[in-house]
Amino acid sequence: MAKKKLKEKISSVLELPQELVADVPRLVLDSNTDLWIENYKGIIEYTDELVRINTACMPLSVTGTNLMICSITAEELHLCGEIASVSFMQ
Amino acid sequence: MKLLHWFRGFVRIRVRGFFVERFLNICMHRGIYLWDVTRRGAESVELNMSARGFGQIRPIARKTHSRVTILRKSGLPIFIARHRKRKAFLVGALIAMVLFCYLTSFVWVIEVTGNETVDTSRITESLAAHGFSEGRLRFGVDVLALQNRVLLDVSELSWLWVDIHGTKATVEVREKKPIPEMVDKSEPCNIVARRGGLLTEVAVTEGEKMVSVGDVVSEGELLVSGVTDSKYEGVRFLHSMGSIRARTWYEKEGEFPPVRVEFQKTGKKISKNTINFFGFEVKLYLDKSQPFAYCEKETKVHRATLGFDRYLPLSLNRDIYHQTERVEIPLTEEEVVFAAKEKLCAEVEAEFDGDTQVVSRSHSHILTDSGNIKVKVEYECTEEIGRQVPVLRQ
Repeated sequence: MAKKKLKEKISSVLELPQELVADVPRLVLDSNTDLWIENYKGIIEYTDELVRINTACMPLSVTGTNLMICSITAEELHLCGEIASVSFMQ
Repeated sequence: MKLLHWFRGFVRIRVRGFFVERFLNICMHRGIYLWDVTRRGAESVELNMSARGFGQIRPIARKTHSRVTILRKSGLPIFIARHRKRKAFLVGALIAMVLFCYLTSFVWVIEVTGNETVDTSRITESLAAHGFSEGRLRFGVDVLALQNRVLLDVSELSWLWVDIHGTKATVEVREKKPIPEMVDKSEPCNIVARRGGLLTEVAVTEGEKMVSVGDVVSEGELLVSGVTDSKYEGVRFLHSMGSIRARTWYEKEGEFPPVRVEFQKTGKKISKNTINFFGFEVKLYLDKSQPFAYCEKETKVHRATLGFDRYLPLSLNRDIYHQTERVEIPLTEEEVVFAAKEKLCAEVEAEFDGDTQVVSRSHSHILTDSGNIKVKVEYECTEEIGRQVPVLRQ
């Protein structure tokens, strides 16, 4: 935890973008149809109504209908479909 | 991205098992790219995978206890494998490509623009004389050298440039503006009347004035003299210059029959076609003479193109002969007078010289014994009537 706080302090003092320093996921949401997730650990669950993804800090879940994985790579995950909600859970 | 994968080949597979998500995660970690993943049931998922990746999934499937079935194979390697035996297709495709490259390497059309007084044929002849004509390779054209040589040949041009787009060459030229004539003041001359009239303005800048406003002069009368003799200076020869305006009259008459002759199309037509290929002409007809006694000829040229300036050396000339017949249409008196007026006015106006301005115009007509109509137009104008005539010195 101390290490994390130190990292955050350095990045804020030097005003570096967070993605370079910390290991956090980045989500890009286009309307309610496309969601790109960068920097994730793996897929926990995948159905066409719920997708749960594991990231560095916490799992993230996406609900909707007709959910499809447009592409999977180690760096980025692209979800398509009618997205209803995106939520972080502890 | 999708296109790249098509080039390398990919498969659509169905993965069935309890740990489908684990299968996806392992593929991801091993760098196998997957796309268009859809859930097809509680235990099965369909996805696209590159052919290269497909070779590596056996251990992954074993680890996740999944069954893999191939739904579809796609991509360039598959296409080639399926059509492996079609050698003629390959040969044909290669020939088509070679022919295309060959045919589009030449200039097939040369278009000349920008010339107003100079004949297009002179420019194209000059270009041909220096090696630039239709059928020439479109690469390696030295435009600057062409520019120099053609401008020397055709001296009326001041600029020339050749642009080659596809197989069409556009030659743009600009003509030289003529040098304005300088007045030669050394030669002495008189000013005489070019036409008779009533003088309205006499402004002499050089020479001795012989007439004044209000005089009636006739053609050839001396208006300004270039030879002056005075007590103080002796005989002097001058180059007369000046502006002498007068009111002048023009008239023209003619006799016109009360009919109009027209050539109307009867509707019958015959077309004669010629195919022009690489300069060889193939006539698709036998009879070279005109098919009808009276006819109107319409010519259409169709050039074959591969689209957007890529002209081919193949064209079709259609000569369509429309048969016409001579028809006499009777006219009313007003129509004849109207037409006659137009014609006579045009004739009068053709005689105008310089800056003649029309003051008034009138016409009259009478019916003759033979049924024709005699029409006369009269014009009243003002114009410059001075004409310079050199003086012969003894």
